[in-house]
Amino acid sequence: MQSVLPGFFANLNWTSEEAGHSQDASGLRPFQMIFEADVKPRTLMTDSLVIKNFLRKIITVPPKIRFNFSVKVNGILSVEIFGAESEPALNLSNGIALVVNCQHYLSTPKFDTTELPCSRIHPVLGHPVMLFIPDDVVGMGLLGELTLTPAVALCPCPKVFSNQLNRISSISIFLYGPSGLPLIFPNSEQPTTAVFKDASYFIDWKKYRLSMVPNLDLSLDSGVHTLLSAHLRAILRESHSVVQGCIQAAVAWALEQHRQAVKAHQKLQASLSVAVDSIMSIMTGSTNSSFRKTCLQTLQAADTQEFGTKLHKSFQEVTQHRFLYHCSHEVKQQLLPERNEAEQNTDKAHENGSLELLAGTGEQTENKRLKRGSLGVEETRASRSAGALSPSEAASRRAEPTAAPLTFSRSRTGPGSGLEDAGPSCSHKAALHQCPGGVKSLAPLRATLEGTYRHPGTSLLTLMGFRLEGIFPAALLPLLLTMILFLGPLMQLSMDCPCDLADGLKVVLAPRSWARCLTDMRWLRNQVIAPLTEELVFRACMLPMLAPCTGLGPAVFTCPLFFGVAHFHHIFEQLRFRQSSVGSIFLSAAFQFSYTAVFGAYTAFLFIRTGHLIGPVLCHSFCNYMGFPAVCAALEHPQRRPLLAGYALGVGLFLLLLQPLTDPKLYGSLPLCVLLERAGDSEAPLCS
Amino acid sequence: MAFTPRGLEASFFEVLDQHRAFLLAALKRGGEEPAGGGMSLASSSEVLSSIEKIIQDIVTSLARNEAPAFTIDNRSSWENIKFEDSVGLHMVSHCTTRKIKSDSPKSVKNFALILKILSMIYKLVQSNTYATKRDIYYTDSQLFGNQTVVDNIINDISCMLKVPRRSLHILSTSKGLIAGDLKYLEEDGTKVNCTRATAIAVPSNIQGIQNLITDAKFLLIVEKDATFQRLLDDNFCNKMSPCIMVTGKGVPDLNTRLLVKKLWDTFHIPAFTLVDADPHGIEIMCIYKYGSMAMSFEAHNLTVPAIRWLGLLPSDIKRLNIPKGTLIPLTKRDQMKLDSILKRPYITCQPFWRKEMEIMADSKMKAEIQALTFLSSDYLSRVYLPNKLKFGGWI
Repeated sequence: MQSVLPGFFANLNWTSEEAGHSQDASGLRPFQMIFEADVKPRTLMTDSLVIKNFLRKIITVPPKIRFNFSVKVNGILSVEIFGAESEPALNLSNGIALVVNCQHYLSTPKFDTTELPCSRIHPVLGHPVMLFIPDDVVGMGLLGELTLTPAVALCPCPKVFSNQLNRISSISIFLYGPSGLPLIFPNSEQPTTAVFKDASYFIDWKKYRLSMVPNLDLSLDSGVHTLLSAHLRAILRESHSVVQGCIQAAVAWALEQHRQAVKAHQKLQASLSVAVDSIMSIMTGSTNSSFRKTCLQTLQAADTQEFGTKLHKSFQEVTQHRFLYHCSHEVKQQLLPERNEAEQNTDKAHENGSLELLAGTGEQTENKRLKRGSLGVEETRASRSAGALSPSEAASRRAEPTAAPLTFSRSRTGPGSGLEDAGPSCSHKAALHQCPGGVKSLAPLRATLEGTYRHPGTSLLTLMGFRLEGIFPAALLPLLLTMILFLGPLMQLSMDCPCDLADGLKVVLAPRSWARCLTDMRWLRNQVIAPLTEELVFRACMLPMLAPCTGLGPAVFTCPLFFGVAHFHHIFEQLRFRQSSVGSIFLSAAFQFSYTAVFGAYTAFLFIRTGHLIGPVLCHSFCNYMGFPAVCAALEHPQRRPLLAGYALGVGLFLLLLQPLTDPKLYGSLPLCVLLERAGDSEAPLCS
Repeated sequence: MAFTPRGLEASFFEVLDQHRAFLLAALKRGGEEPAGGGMSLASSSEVLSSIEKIIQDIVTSLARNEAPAFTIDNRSSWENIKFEDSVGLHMVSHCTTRKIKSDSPKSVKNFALILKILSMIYKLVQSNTYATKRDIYYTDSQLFGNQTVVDNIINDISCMLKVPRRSLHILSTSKGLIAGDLKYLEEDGTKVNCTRATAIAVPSNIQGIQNLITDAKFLLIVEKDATFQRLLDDNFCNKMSPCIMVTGKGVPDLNTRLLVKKLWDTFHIPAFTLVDADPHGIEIMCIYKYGSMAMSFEAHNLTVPAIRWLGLLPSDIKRLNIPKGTLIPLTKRDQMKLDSILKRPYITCQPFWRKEMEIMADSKMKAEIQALTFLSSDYLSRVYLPNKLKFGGWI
C-alpha cells in the first residue's frame, strides 16, 4: 500500500483488517482495512486527498469494486463511497470495463446548465500496439509481451459542448496497468516519460482549429509510483514512434468526432437563425393584428423583440435536446445479472492480482500491511481455483498469454498463479478533459479503507417478473379474467359493431390491419409502449422494492397510489390550455386518479400472484383498448336487459374466479414471495 | 415552293373533325368538368392567412416544447397517386405524408429554407409583386445552394398550402415556344399574334391571358425544339393551316403545360404529340397527357387526357422500312424506363400504347424523329404528318 501512497505512512499504523469474503448468497465480499494515524491534520488532509484520487481512478476502470472511504477526525466521521456499480461501462478489448459516466472524470462539474443531457464520455479505442521491451529492461527482470491500448475520450460528451467550438481546457493522461488499475506516475519532480511530456506529440491542434488554454496539466497525476512505471519509461521511449502513432490516431479520431459535432451544431445554428429570421419577418410584416397578437401571446412575449429572443431560445432548447438524444445510446450498457459466477471469480482474482502487483512493487518498503493485504488475495484465489475447472472464459478474457512476469523478491504466491496474475498487457488511456478537476477536502485522523465486492444478484430479472416458468398461463389467465370482468362492455361492443363475427375475424386476422396498427403511433403508444413502460415502472420495479418494506398486502394498495398520481400531469396540460373550467378539470382528475388506482391495485395483485410481468402488461393493454366501461350508454341501449345482465354476470364471475385463476401454484415459484420468506416475513397470504 | 396552298381542301380534315366530335361527346358524357378538387386560384388574403396559420402552428408547438415540423404530402410514391381517365394522375385525398422536422440534423436545413421562402412569398403576396424562381434563388444563392432546391421547396409549399404556384406570386421563365394560328391578349393588354414565321415564347402568366382566338383544327405538341424549328422552316404551320404548334423543349415546364391545358379547355381542338420513338419521348408525352407524379397535386390544372400519340410510333419504323442502321439500340436505362412506364396505372387503358411499347421492347431499338430524314429531307412535313393527320394515324 505504501508504494501507492508515497510519503504518507509516516505515522500510520495498520490496526485491523477483516477479510469477510465467504461466498454467501448476497455476493458481497467485503474486506476492510483500518489505518490509524497520528499526524498533523494538514498532512492527513493531503494524504486522504491522494487516497481519494487514487480510489476515484480505480473505480473508473474496474467498475465492480466499491470503496467506502470513511475518515474519522476527532470523533467526527465523514464517509464517502466510491463505486460504479451498475453504471454504464465500455468493455475494452482486453476485458477491462471502463466506466463512462463523466462524473468520475470531473470532480466538480462546472456547467451553466443544471442538468446534462448526456452524462457520458464516449471513449474511442485505438488499435492495440505491441511494445518492444528493450534488452536492458529485460535484464532487470521484465519479460513477456506488453500491449498498449489507447482509449481517448473528450469529457464531457462533445455533443453537449459543441457550442464551445474550440476550447479544451486541460488534458489528463492516465495510465492503467494490465488489470485496469491505474499506474500512476511518480511525483512531478521526477521526469516522466518523454513521450508524454508534450501533448503536441499526438494532437494536431491547428487541424481542429483548437486553441490551447495554458493550464495544460501533463504531470500525469501526482501521486504514487509503481515498479512498472519505472520501467515503462524505458519501454515507451524504445517504441516511441509506434506509441506516438497509435495515440495520435486515437486522439485524432476522438477530436474528429468533436469536430463533426461542432460542424453539425454550426449547421443547426445557421438553419435555426434563418428559420427565426423568417418567422420574425412574417410576424413583423403582417398587417393582421390578431395574428400578431396570438403569436405574442403564445410565447408570452410583451413585444416583438422579446418574441424574437424567446423564439430563438425555445427553438434552441427543443432542437438541442433532440440532437443530443441519440448520443446517449452510443455506449453499450452492461447488464448486471448476465455474467456467471465463474467469470466473476476470475474477475476478482484478476483485480486482486493486480492489487498484488501494485503491492509487490513496493518491495523495498517492508510492510506487514502488505502481507495482510495479500492474504486476502490468496484466499480469493483459493476460492477461484476451486472453481477453476469451469472458466474457459477466464483464459480467453486474459487475451495475452504470459511469459515470466515482473519478478518479485517476495514469493508469497505459488509460481503458477503468479504467472497468471501479472498479465503483462498494459492498457493506456488518455483522457482529455474540458474542465479541470478539483477535489473536496476533509481533515482525517483515521482512515478506513473498505472494498466491497458486490455479487450481482441473479434473481433481479425474475424478481421483476421476467421469467419463463409458467409464462403461458401467466399470459393467458389474467387476460381471460379481465375479459370476464369486461363481459358487459365486450357484449356492448359486439352489439354495436356493424359487421358480423366472420367479417370481424377476417379484419382482425388480416396482416394489413396489423400493419396499419403497428404504424399508427397512437396505437403503439396506447397498446404497447404505455402498458409495457407503466407496468415496468409501477409494478416490476416498484413492487419488489415496496414489498419488503410494507409487506405484500399494503404494497398492493400503496403502489397504485403512485400510479394514480402519475396521471395527474393531465391537469397541467388542461389548465394550461384552459380546456374546461378548473372545477371540472380537478373533478375529472380525481375520477381518473381513483380508477387508475383501482386498476393499479388489480395489476399489482396480478403481478404478485403470478410473479410475471406479462400478465399485467396484457391486461393493461386490453383495458387501454376498452377504456372505462360506457355505463351510461349501456343504460340507454336498446338491448338494455341482456347487456346489464352481462355487466352483472361479468362482475360476479370475476369475483368468483379472481382467487382460483390467480393461484400462485399455476405459475411456479414466486420470486417475490421467496424473497420475503427468506427475509423472515412469513405472513403473505397473497403467496398461497 | 412557288405557291403554297393556303389551306387544304375540306376533305383533308374529315377524320380530324370526326375525332373532335368524338372527344366532345366523351367530354359531355363525362359530365361538365371533372369534378372539382382542383386548386382554384386562391385570393391573396387566403394565401396570407394560410401562411400565418403555419407560423402560428410553429409558435404554438414551440410553446408546448415540441419540435415544430412541416407535414407535406408525399409526392414521390405511386401509392399516393390515383389514376382517373378523365383527369390523369392526381393525388389521392388521404395520402401518406412526410415530415420535415426541425430537430433532425438532416431536415433542419430544409425546414429553415421552407420558412425562408414562405417569408419571401408572404412579402410578395402582400405587396402584390411577382418574382421568378430564379429571382428567389439569387436573393441568397449561398444559402440555397442550387436552383433545384428552390424549385423543390416551392413545389412543396404549393402542395402544402394547396395553392397553385401562380397564387404564391412566383413565376418561372417559360422555356416553351408556340407558333401557328393563335391570337390572344396578355393580362397587361399586350396583343400577341403567333401567326408569324418565328415562334413566340409561352407567356409566363397563363392565367392572365384572355381573348384567345384561333381557327386551328388541331394542336401539335412537339417534343424537341430541333424538330419544332425544322417544322417551322418547312412552313408546316402554313401548309397544314389552320393549326397551332407548341414545344416544351424536352420535359415541359409548368407554363407550357398550363398553356396546352388552356388551349384544350377553351377550344376543345384535338391535340397530338410528336415525340421520339424512345422511352424518354413516351414519358414526355405522358406528362402532357396524364401529368407527372411530382406535380400530381395540381393535376386538375395541368393534364389534358384528350392528347393522342401521333408519332413517331415504333410500328411506323417497320412500316416505313427505316433501315436498321439509323436506329439506336436501347440502353439499359431506356429498358428500365420502358419497364417502369409499362407498369404505370394509365397504360392499362391504353392497349395500343402498350402494343407500341412492346414492339419497341421486342426490337430493342429506338428512333429519333430525325430518322425520317433518311427517307427524304422533308419527309416529316410533306408526307408523314399530313398522311397521319388525314387518315387518323394517331392512337
